Amino acid sequence: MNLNFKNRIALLTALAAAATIGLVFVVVYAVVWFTAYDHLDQDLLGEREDVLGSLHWGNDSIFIKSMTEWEEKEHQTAEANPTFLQVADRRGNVLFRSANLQKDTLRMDTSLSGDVFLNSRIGLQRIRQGQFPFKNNSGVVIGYLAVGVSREESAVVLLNLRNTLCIAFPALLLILFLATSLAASTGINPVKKLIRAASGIGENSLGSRLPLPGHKDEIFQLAATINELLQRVEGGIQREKQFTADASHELRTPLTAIRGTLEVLLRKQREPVQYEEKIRRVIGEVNKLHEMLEQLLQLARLESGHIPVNRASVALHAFFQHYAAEWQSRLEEKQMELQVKIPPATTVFTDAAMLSMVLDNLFGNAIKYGYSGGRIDCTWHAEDVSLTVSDNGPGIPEAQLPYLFDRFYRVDDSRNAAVPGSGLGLSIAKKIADILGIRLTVDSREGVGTTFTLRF
Amino acid sequence: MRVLLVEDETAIANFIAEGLEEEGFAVDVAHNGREGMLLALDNLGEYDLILLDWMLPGASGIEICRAIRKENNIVPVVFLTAKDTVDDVVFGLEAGANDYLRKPFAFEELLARMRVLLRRSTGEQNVFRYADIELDVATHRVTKAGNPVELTPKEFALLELLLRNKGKACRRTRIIEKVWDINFDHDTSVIDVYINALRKKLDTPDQPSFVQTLRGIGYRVNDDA
Repeated sequence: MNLNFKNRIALLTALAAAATIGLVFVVVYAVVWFTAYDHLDQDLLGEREDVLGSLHWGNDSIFIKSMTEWEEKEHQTAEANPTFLQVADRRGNVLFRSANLQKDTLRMDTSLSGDVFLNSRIGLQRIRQGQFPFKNNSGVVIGYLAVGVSREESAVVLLNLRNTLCIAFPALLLILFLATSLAASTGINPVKKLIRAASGIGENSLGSRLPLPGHKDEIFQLAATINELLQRVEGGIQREKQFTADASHELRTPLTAIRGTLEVLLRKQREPVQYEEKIRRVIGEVNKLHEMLEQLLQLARLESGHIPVNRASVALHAFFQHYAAEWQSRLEEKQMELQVKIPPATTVFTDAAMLSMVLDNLFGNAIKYGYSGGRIDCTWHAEDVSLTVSDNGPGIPEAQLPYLFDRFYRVDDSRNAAVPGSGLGLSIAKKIADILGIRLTVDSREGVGTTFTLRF
Repeated sequence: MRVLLVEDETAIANFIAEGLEEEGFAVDVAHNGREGMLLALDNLGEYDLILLDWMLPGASGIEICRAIRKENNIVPVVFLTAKDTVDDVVFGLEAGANDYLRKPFAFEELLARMRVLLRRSTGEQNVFRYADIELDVATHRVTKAGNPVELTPKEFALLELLLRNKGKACRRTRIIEKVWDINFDHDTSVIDVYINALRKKLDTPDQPSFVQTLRGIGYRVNDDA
């Protein structure tokens, strides 16, 4: 059913109320019914005692003890609230009936042997009737006494009650439905407000937040949750924007140098040696630009997530023997020493090519930023399945460690030190490690050195 | 004209410094924000113009610019930055910069904008004369009696300083400050060498020199006779 939220609540409430109210009404009616007829039945029982007092019965006969007294008991006049009496034998043949019955007979049921109360009619008059058996000393039924009283009053009360309840039921439900609907629409107002506020938040107003309601209720939680979501979205977009800004800054820097150097060079005639020197510088800048573009592309490929990963068992010891050989010349250039401590039987299940890309970045940095004559230690820790790459270089200030893997982040003093770099290497290493399921962490102390840990 | 350049990228700092020196500017280069801040605040009165990169390690160009303006100095400041949105430009100008150049920029444009700012801060004059000697700051040319004279950048800067202050004494320390950069070792005898070179190129034979030596003080170009 295509109902809106408030009407759905109202309808459900009304249905629940219909069941409850219906049940209450039925119970009320039943209680009143039983109370009214029980009252009449007590009257009938009282009447029976009176009648029995003036009757006498033996083994198979019934006598009226004193006719006069019986006559005095009237029951003959058709008064406003008469009591009807009738005595019958065990077959139901009427032996006696009070005068007020005139030609009518009280209906009797001889198949029943106990005291019976029932509703019946005499002509148009509604009566409550009791039927009581006479039993002789051996307990055999020898006849019946029927006593009837008018139940006109009770019937009217019950009818009125029934009509009232029947009219009240739908009326109550309608009122309830409307009231609930109104309450629901008031209750849903904060939600509507939220919807309005939320639909007003666009690309350009991501910084705005939903107003939090005063009470800490579900609406408050909803608004707070949406605000947290916005916060995360904004953060993500902010990071992307920052990345674009950083990328453009990093690309413009070599471009500016290339353009400016060439322009200044062309401003006047120079010696050939000067041209040569400037052109070499420009080529250096072009190389920087090229390297950065390559790294940006690599990063984009990694972030797109379509990198095939070929995991296999890698014998780490053999892997490093081969790997260290590749780095030998770069290490020798700075007279650095590489110490590999990996037990021969060590194997890891990973993509060897991607692992060597991670290590390339770590080794590259260790050599680039390390001191001449320094050392690099590569150690396998079997107890926590991790590989550490440590250097005894200048170390990284503690405050800068959290940003180390951010794209384009470069430790302050390395920027203007004569160390080339784009600030992308470590974020690429981190991305690859993430893809391989390796936890890459860094620990560093200024003046002591830096340790990168790869936890497989 | 003495210029402070705060730029952390060596390749950029190099070409700007070289280009400006060839134009006769004395250029001090700071390679990070801290150094830039120190140089700017310590020698504030000595710079005729300051070129600032925005994103610098140590202290940002914006911080340096604000610090300069807080000292209530009116030295022209130009931002050279890769930040290029309108918001960035506005932010930079509101921090107190006089001009804003987006990287990569044309060197000629940088020069032209610097000249505009210098003209504004030192008076509208572009051409300075003494007798038949004429110096044009904009075209960077010197003529004597209409004939072009080739000057080295330092000679040009020295001549410009003297002509700008025609009739006033230029103290040796001031000449060093304005013509040579901060790395110069304060041996002021180098000034005499350059003055002699200028005299050789510009003096009319058998006439008093265009520049007077004030013994123990410095040099002066007299007001037009």
